[in-house]
Amino acid sequence: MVERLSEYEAEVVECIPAELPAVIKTQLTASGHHSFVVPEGLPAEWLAAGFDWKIDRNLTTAEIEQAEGVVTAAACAIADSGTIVLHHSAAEGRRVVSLLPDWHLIILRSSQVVETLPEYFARCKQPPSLVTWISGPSATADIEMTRIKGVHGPRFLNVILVHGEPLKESR
Amino acid sequence: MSHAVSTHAELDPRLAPPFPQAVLPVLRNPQLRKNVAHAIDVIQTKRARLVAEKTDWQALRDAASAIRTHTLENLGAYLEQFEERCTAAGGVVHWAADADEARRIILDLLQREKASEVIKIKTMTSAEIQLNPYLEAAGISALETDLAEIILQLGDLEPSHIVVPALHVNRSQVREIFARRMGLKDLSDDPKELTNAARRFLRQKFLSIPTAISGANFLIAETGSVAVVESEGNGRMCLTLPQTMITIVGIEKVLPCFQDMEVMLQLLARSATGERMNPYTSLWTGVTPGDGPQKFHVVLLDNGRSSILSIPKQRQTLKCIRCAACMNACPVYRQTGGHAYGSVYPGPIGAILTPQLMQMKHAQSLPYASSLCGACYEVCPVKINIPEVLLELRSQVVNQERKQLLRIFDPMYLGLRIANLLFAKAWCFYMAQWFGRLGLRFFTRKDGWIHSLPSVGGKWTQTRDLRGLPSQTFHEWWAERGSKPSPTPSPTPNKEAKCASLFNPGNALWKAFAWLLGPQLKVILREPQPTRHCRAIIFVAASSARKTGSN
Repeated sequence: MVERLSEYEAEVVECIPAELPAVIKTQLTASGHHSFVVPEGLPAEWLAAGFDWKIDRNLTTAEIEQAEGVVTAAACAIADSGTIVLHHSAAEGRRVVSLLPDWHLIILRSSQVVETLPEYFARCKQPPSLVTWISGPSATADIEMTRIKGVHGPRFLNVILVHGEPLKESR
Repeated sequence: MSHAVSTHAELDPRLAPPFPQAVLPVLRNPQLRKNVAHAIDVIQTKRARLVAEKTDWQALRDAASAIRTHTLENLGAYLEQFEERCTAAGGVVHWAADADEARRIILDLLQREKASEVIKIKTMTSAEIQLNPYLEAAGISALETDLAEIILQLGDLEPSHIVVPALHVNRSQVREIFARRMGLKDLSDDPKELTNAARRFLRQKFLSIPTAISGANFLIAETGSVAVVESEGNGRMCLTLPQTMITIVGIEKVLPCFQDMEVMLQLLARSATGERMNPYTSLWTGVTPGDGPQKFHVVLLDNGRSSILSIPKQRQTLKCIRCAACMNACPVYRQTGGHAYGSVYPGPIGAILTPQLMQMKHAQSLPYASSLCGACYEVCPVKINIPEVLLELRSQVVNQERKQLLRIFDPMYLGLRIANLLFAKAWCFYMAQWFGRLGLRFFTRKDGWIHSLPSVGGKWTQTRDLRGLPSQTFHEWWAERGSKPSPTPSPTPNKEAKCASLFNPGNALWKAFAWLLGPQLKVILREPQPTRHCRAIIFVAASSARKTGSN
């Protein structure tokens, strides 16, 4: 998973649960950004002090657009293709939240990672009403097949992989 | 900013010239051919590497083919199920029998929203029904948001590929278009800078235009969901920010259940762009309160598809998931690019899809725009046997043409009819061989090759030489050999051997005949307008040589 995500030029950091808040803070600082938007359902202990947090309680598009970054959880991840799946639950947020900001930090538990796409489909028999599969940052190869990272979605995708947490239902 | 109205005449199968004519400008444009070949090489290399690492690739193709075949055989039921589930989730489903009805439905929806502008995710279906010019004429400007599509729209160019539609345009051409249409004088031709220019240009449009049009890669009957597969994020923008979303989709795009996406997602990106997975895939079901468009319409487009479905041999055409692997693999497409196909669907799939969507009235040259090498079938992720459908369509073209009375004066048709008569009887065949040899002798140079032939034969010698006929046929050689003493001599020569010996050039009777007739024949054949009879003989010889040559 780490290797495949790195191939997409996504930045991946691994840690254990106890280290998570500190690692989040390091990542936020390293991003150079200050204002972040988060979904309503994200655990409060993840929101490190010293940053400008906007919690999405029906924020307007303009307000979300002003945020420099976004921090969300994920529903599942597929190692084989380096894909992160969002089911847009409370901790993953509305679709617009993880779309407009330029910098996206995803917090992923190792128990959420499956090896192949069929394993994801075996876990998720019925889809929720909204699903987004993300495989690396937004990209295009429309000009002379030169791969350019970042067209309309977030140009920077960062992932924190948390080891050793018990399996939770993806939604 | 006003957006140019694209007429699409070049890609309208009703107006486009036949393929052999349409390729000529491309073949004379080395820059275009270089751009196309480069793009295809990049995709093909990536695809080959990723397909090789997938050990169950063939099993996946079988599964995908089975899913698509099953769906098409039960299409009505799955579409009705989709309609029911989508409606239950808050969507509105419209049925459009043809392009005109689809356009009217969409225009009506937009007018009810009082839209003067609409943002679009790249959709082949809207290009098929020529939606943009229709909306422009009604005063609604349709803005494409895919990078390649916006290059084409701002540059007033035509798409030439279904996945990377601007692959024929290079970076300096893109720079020129963006500089002119976005008013950016200091733009460089660095793809990164060009992409950023498009990002800035479109961001404001995404945030301000409340109505969007999309296509769909898949409809899920079981849940009433719609899926869009993309790379750039313009799709996610259009699916998330506007208040109203209109999705136009061909009726064949439905899948029975969510689990079927498992197979399709493994095949699609690898086949289309040579990626393990495309950057973004979105799936949504009707309307979700508080998230994304609160008004959602699906227009299910038939436009000739149900007539394709009704012909079992051709039905497989509708299995297509629009990955474009066939055009990337096609040796013809590599040379010609997409425009020559005279349709928004180029390449091998276009060569079978376009004539069928047009009910064979137009685009009759397309089934011939292939060498039948089978590369398209080999790479197709849903196993559409394109060569098989091409042959079926060719036979339909011939059958249609045969009904035309004027057709009997066509040299090709006439030649084939005469060949049919000559090859039916042994003596006719030997006589034709004899005359053919005699006739061709006047065109055979000293090196034993024929460099130019008159009339239809000239079409062959235009691009390649033809070997002169040998002075003796195999049958003659055999008969001659049989007349010599051998351990087991055949007691009585059969009828065919008699015929062969009668027409043997060694036969005194024929030697005399040739001596008398030879000079006259020479004169007739050298005339600029040879008589129909002589032309036919020459044609027979040329076509039999062609058969040997092509085998």
